Amino acid sequence: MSKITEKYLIKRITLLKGVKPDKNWVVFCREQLIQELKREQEALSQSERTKMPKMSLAAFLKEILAPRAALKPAGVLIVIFGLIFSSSILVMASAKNSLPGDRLFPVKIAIEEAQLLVAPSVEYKADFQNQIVDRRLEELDRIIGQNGPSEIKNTKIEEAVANLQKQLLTIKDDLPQLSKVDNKKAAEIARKIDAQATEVRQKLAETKSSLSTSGSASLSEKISEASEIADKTGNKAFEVIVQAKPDAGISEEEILAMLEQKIQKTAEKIKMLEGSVPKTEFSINATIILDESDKALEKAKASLEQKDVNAAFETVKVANEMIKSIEKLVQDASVQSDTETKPSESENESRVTATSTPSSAIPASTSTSASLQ
Amino acid sequence: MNKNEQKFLDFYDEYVTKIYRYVYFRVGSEQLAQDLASETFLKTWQYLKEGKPIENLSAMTYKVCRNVISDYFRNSGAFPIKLEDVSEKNNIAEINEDFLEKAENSIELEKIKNQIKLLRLEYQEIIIWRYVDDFEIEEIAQILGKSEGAVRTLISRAVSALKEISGAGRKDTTKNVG
Repeated sequence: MSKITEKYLIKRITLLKGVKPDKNWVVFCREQLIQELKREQEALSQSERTKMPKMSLAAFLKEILAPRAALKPAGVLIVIFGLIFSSSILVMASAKNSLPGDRLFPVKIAIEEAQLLVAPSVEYKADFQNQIVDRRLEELDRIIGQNGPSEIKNTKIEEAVANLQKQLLTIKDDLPQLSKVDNKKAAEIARKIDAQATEVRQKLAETKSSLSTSGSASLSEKISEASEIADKTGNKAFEVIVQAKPDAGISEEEILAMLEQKIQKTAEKIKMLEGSVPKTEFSINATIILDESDKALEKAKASLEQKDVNAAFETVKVANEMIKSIEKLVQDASVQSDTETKPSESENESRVTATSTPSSAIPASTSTSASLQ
Repeated sequence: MNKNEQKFLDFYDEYVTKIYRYVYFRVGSEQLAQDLASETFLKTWQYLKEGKPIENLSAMTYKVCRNVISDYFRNSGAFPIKLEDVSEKNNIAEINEDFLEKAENSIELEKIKNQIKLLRLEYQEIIIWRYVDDFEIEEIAQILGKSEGAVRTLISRAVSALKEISGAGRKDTTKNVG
């Protein structure tokens, strides 16, 4: 075997330069920084004036309810009286049934956020968060069932999916708080979250396939993102269950059964992927990764048979990541194929294909240090 | 916007990719990397506002970044993610190459990532900084608080360790994934 030279090694390492952040996020993050800088500037120059920034109702409620515990009861009273006197019961009832895009939908969200802020316990909060996810799913169902122009409907679906994703992210980020409750309760809550994450994933997959002809690429991508968050939330919940297992009265068999279900679901995803796209249309890259994901799944099953929960779980996660890569490759290839078959779709259409050389989003600077005076 | 603020934004433009990439390899999640990278820049700015003298802004930012990541792992109870869990979805630069070359690069990328993750944490960091982010020795020395000589030695050891892993055999290399 030939000796690996340092030069060759370094050449391979530099491939990692290909890992870059999403351009939209770079811009968004920069904007956030600018807003922060502006906010401080305003606070400095207008130190005597208390300026109420423009904020949504939800942000306003968070502002008055979030801080020191001593103020919470007063904050709650402000909310209750504010809602009672500023809107009739009918308005609040209407808000309850509103959908994304409706005028009262922000009120619905604000009321939910207020209720979360004043949740008396971790368990109550977790339970309510699950209810909110159910509501988001129901809203998505109702929107899909609506008639009307597909463009408007798709916009609403996109918003509904974004709301669902946001709620799942909140649940995922709050999972560490389960360490504050006893293991049995933590495991119970985590089980519900895991089951719900599976339900969400299924619903999103159904939505995606039902929109295959009418949906935009952007909507499809949003659904994929939300599915990924659902996956991650379910995985994190499973980790909580495994950690809580010793004291939670959960048997090893139950854990193995849950893991087996995850492996099965992953196998179904692979099968669905293989079935939805003819193998001849898979790029070489996608075919290779598909093979690797099959191998990973076999490895997971072998680990499961040996009752190695951690190894099996980690391998299933890797297999799922591979599936996502394949889905993305297939999606990109499909978009590219659409572009090639419809060359003059619109005067203003200016799609950049996946083979264009990117320019750096950020101009290179020669200085490597910048000290502020 | 005053001069200092503009300078900071220029610094952001220059370093956002590097900071993001560093966080990404440490935490293995695009979303989390975005959150923690944002937090790093915000915290760096907060520190700058305090008016303390700073010799090297990039070194300080990396220190802030490492603290942000440590705090995250400590508070979330999550385990540090190895590079094996890093998804390359959406992050591979769009390269003007044909399919075959793209596939080859993709596989190579996966291989080198898996090999680097077998190194101890300080070797991983130094390889990324030196050969991916193109940092000068001096800059790495400032980030790590070591002498330039020590950094050169570290780089040499890191590359040797990686060479061994990439070669026929693999040695057991102590991993510090903290």
